[in-house]
Amino acid sequence: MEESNTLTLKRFIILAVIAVWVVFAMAPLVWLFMSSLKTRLDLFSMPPKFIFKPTLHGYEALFITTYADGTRKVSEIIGTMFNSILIAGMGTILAVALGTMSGYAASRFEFKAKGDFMFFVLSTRMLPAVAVLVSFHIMYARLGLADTRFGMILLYILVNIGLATWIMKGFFDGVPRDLEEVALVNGYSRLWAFRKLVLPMVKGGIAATTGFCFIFAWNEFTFASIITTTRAKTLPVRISAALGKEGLDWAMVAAAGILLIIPIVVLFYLIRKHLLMGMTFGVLGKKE
Amino acid sequence: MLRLKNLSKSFKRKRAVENLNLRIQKGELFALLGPTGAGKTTTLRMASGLEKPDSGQVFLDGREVTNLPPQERDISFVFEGLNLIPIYTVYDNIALALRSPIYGEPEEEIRSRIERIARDLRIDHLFDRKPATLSGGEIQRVAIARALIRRPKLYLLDEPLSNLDLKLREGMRAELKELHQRYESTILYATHDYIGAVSIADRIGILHEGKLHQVGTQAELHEDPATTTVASLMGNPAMNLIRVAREGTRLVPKGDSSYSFEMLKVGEVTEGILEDDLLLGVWPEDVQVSLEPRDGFFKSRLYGQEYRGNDRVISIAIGEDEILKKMVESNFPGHYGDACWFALNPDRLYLFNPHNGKRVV
Repeated sequence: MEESNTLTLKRFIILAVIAVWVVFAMAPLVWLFMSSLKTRLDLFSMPPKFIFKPTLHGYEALFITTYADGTRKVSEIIGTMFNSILIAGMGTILAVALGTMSGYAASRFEFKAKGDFMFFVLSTRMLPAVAVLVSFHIMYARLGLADTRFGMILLYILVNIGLATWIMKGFFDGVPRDLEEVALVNGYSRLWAFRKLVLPMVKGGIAATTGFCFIFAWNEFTFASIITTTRAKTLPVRISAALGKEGLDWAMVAAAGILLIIPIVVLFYLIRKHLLMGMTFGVLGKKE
Repeated sequence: MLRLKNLSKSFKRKRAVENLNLRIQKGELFALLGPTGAGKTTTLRMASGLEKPDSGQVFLDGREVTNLPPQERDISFVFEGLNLIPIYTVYDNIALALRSPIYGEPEEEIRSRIERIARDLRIDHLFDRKPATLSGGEIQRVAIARALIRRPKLYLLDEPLSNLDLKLREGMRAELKELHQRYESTILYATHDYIGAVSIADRIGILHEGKLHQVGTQAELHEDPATTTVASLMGNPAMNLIRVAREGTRLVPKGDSSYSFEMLKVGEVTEGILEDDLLLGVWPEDVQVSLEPRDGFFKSRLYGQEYRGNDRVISIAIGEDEILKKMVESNFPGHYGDACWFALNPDRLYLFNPHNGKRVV
């Protein structure tokens, strides 16, 4: 009796802590979502309104630009969104693919100056963006990469590959190397073992790495704000400049915020199963 | 069939295998016997191509394969860690080699072969299970089945039976021997288990600290052990080794000088013998023991005993801290503390140099 009581109490405390955390984490999102559906009047009413008549005005303002002469056109946000998806998507896929391969090499093979190499890889993540911004700006301008999607993809690969290599190396370290040896003595190549045995076992790691890299690439603002101007402009940059004709249209900014969140939610919904596995695996895999 | 020539391998300055030379005949079952850390696994891995030797060469079937990867050597390997593929079922694990690009067979052929070997190893009810749900013995049998499914030039078995219970282990030994004879396969078998080695191997190689001490049949090694290492790894119980000094043709134990053993052969050799510091070796079966006084026997007492099924190993005290072990039948009437009389067969004594372990007589 006593025991089951303490157990229930423990459960209750855990649930309470989780509940507080959920409220803390979700409240801004709920607030954002509500704001995106409010009129200007409702937005600024004090005390804040929780029950109001929703309007799609913010989303309309986001997607449709109304000119002074009354003509309405689909807003440039569509192109910006396409840029963001392409740049963040390609940047993530390539960074994860390359990082997976280099992480495997780092985990399995000995090569000269491996320690130095791995430190160098890690060091690409050490400097704050501002520190290298100017040099990147000059370099990109000279190379003709400024304000190109290709340039931005390259940039995000560069920024993410170090992280991807290190995370993936950790996951590969958790896979026993005997697995490849089994394949080798049974008539398979190492490449086969990598593709068919090792990769399926680090699915969780790949999912987790993809998540991290995508969030970074999708949200990245500093580089994008300097290097892109029009053609390759990404969503975060566009939203920061979301000025409507009557000053800052907060409903529209909130709508853009929701727009910004959707791809991340979708991505994590898709990889959620592997992610959970990847996280526990990463912890357990560090045994040796 | 397999020839290892001057093989050496170190890991981070630690010698794992040192200048190893070995020839294994076609159709031979060769056991590499040695304690843990002797270099058995490293030797097998170099033979398989999983490990590259620092120096030396590997020949398989007359062809040098030193630089060939494992998949081009036509070998099968049972790993000590067994290494089933966790994401595959038992069936797919066994089928692994037969589905490979190099050793591939049609699916019907694979199925019939797997069914046959699985029946022999009594794992045919496990086909759809994943390795994580199997017991240690089952995992071991699946690992063995995976290696034996093919007929390669050479099987390399690294402690393949260590996880099995006694009965199963004996069964598997018979199975291996049978398989070996039926297909005339060549097997290199690493084990630390003396019984396991002598019960199935045609020849045995004694490996200790990376060095191959001696190679021969069980009888040869027993008759003519080259070093104390060989002597202490052969036999069950192993050879008795007692520190002695030599006085003419007699040997006097250091622990108790009231004994002195006649050794017939000792007179033949005079050079290179350290007179006062030697190891006397005697196989347990060359110790005679009696519970009554007999002519030419020395008095002692029974020091300890361990039961092994139908047999019993008794220890006879020599001085304060040395013992002679002897296997007797379980109905042997003597017990701990009893007085006893013993003698050593003077024709069958060995002398070793205690410093380098080499045999002198």
